[in-house]
Amino acid sequence: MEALSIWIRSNRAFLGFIVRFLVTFFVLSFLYSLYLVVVKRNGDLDMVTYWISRLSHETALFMGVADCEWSCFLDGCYVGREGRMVNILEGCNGLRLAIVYAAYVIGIGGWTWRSLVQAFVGLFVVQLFNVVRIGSLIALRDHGGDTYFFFIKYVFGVFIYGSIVLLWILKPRIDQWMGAK
Amino acid sequence: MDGGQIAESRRFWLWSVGFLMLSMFVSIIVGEEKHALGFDPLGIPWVRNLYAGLKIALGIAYVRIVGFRWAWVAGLVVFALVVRTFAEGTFTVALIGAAMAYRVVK
Repeated sequence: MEALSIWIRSNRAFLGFIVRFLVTFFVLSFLYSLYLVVVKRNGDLDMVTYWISRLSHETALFMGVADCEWSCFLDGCYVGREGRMVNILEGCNGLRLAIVYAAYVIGIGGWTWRSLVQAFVGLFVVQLFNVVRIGSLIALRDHGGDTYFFFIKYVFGVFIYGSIVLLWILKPRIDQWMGAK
Repeated sequence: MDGGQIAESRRFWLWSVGFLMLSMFVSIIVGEEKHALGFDPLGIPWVRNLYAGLKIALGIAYVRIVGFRWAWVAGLVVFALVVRTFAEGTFTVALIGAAMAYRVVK
């Protein structure tokens, strides 16, 4: 018992991070899951997947994909040229990843206004990375064979996860920009 | 803090990026096989268990290599598994995040 309390005392800072991370993560995940249940019950597609698909479509058009089509159904959206479409499902919308990002930011910084602003802005930044990733995938879908597509898909997969880690690395600097001592 | 002798900064980041890239590679291969086969191979229990076992083994190797003691390795992997249970595709990033957080708050 004594050893346990010594261990808790010596690891208080890290345990604090774990608690704040998990509380934030569970609250945000619960709210998002609740939203998905309501949306499904109403027979709609969730707005996050809808907007990610729509903006990815715009990105692909911006990158010069002619005849780029976009259609959404209850289970997700299809974006791209006929016959070479990319299927964007709820799991691809990046929001769950953005929730993990936000939980880390609050886990490290606590429930301060700086952390909340960073978490909120970060949600959009991660989604921006995701839109660029999917838009580029759609644009590059027409080029090369399956190996090429596999390579691109891999690189962009690392890109979205790497963007999260990069934002975490930049967190101390962002804190400084926001006036933290 | 008694997580162990955590790797110096440069080595830590190299291992973290390496782990992220390797873990992503495994995920993408499984995802591509799904398209090639026309069905989800993770629907087969032994394939799913093998895949999960491989990802966990990679995670254990990563956390151990960056310098955590075995008890901490177990704790961090359990933490990442809890996160992954509620948000698919987040095991790797949760594990890296926990290792990063340890360095930051230490």
